[in-house]
Amino acid sequence: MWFKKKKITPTVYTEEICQKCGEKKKRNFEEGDYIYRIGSNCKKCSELTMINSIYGEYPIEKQKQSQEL
Amino acid sequence: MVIFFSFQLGGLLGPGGSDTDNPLMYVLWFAPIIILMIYGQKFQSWMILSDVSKSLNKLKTMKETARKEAIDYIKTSIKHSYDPSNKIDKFLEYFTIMPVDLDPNGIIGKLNHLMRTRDERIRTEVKKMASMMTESEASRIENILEAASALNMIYKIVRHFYLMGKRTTSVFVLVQLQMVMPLLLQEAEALENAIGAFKKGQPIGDSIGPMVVGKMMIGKEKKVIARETLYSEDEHMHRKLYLLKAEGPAGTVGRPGEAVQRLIVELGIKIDAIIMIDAALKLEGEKTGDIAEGIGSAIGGIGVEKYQIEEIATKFNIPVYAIIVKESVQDAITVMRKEIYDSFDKIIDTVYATIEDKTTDRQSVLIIGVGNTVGVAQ
Repeated sequence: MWFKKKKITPTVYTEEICQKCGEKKKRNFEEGDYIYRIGSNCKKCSELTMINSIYGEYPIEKQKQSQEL
Repeated sequence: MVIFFSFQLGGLLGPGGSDTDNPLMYVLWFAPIIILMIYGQKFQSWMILSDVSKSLNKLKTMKETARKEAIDYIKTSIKHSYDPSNKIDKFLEYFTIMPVDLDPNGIIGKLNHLMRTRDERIRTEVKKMASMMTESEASRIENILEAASALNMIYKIVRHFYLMGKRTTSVFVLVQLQMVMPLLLQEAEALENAIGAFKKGQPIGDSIGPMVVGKMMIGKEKKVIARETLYSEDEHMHRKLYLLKAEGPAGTVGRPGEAVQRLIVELGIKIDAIIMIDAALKLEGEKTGDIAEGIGSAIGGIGVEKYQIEEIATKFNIPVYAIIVKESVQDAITVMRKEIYDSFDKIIDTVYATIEDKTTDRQSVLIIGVGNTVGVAQ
């Protein structure tokens, strides 16, 4: 009651997937990323990857709070 | 110390020290009751006022931060020394007067015209700031301004009721305001976070519909069917698929209503079923990212697009199936949560299962990804 509620912000990640071998790579979001954009080269097979998803992950406490009920 | 004080009090109450014998005790017992009976409501009002005032200050900070962020973003994107502060302040005060609802001919046409005029005006004004600005940047600025404008409106309405309650010391006005305050603060916080997502071009919870259809459109030819709205053709299990979504990765919802009308009426494409995928508000206690299926036009907004789709569906006797992803208001306008993204594969499976269940070979299905397509291409 007497303390200021701590603001919980999510960490935003970008997930790239190789269009050839299906290898996934998760990294921090960078400005200019958008879903279904061509990404970097795959580390495994050097084929181009595609940004498959961009999502925010909250710390564990926030996830627990929303799953309590 | 306590013992010493109770001795002193005992002395004051006189020898014997029984509470009920002393008239001073009666006064001490009854005075607060009488004071509270007379001034109780005033005390309550003061307490509520101080509580609401704290929340109002929070809203004021949020509103000012949003305004500053909008100005800073425009300054960095137009890249010259022009100060957009005055223009932004004008934007934040823009209003739309709703058409008269007594009209027996229906107000949807008028609403449609009004909304188009409003959108056009905002877009023109934004583009006037810098002619070199891309459509994507202009739509991002529009989204930021809309969020900042909503925050400004919340602040102004709360301030209005706060000052009215303060002036009249009406406990009824203040209690109502205090009761809705947590919900308003939640919404304001979501709007504040939404600005961050729009600035960076990150997909939001509402983008799940366009994300699903966007995936289905990869590698297909995309044709413009309405302003900021694209469609592609595909095939699945001997059924013809028409895939429709707003043009990403700009922050726009497109014009799905107009697009459906053009596809079916102007282009004369025979559609046997419409499947709409959208984010929908969950009830408290429901899990974020859960999927539900139903019947009807799954689309939000003021109602114009929904009306257009329903009109066409009724006229041509097309069943409309809805697939929704449950999320809160906060989740819908802030960066897409992992729980929502995790439902992606399940939605795709549900879409294909619906196509197979509800249609037969050589029939055509229109699949619409409804929502803001910020950060989602196709």
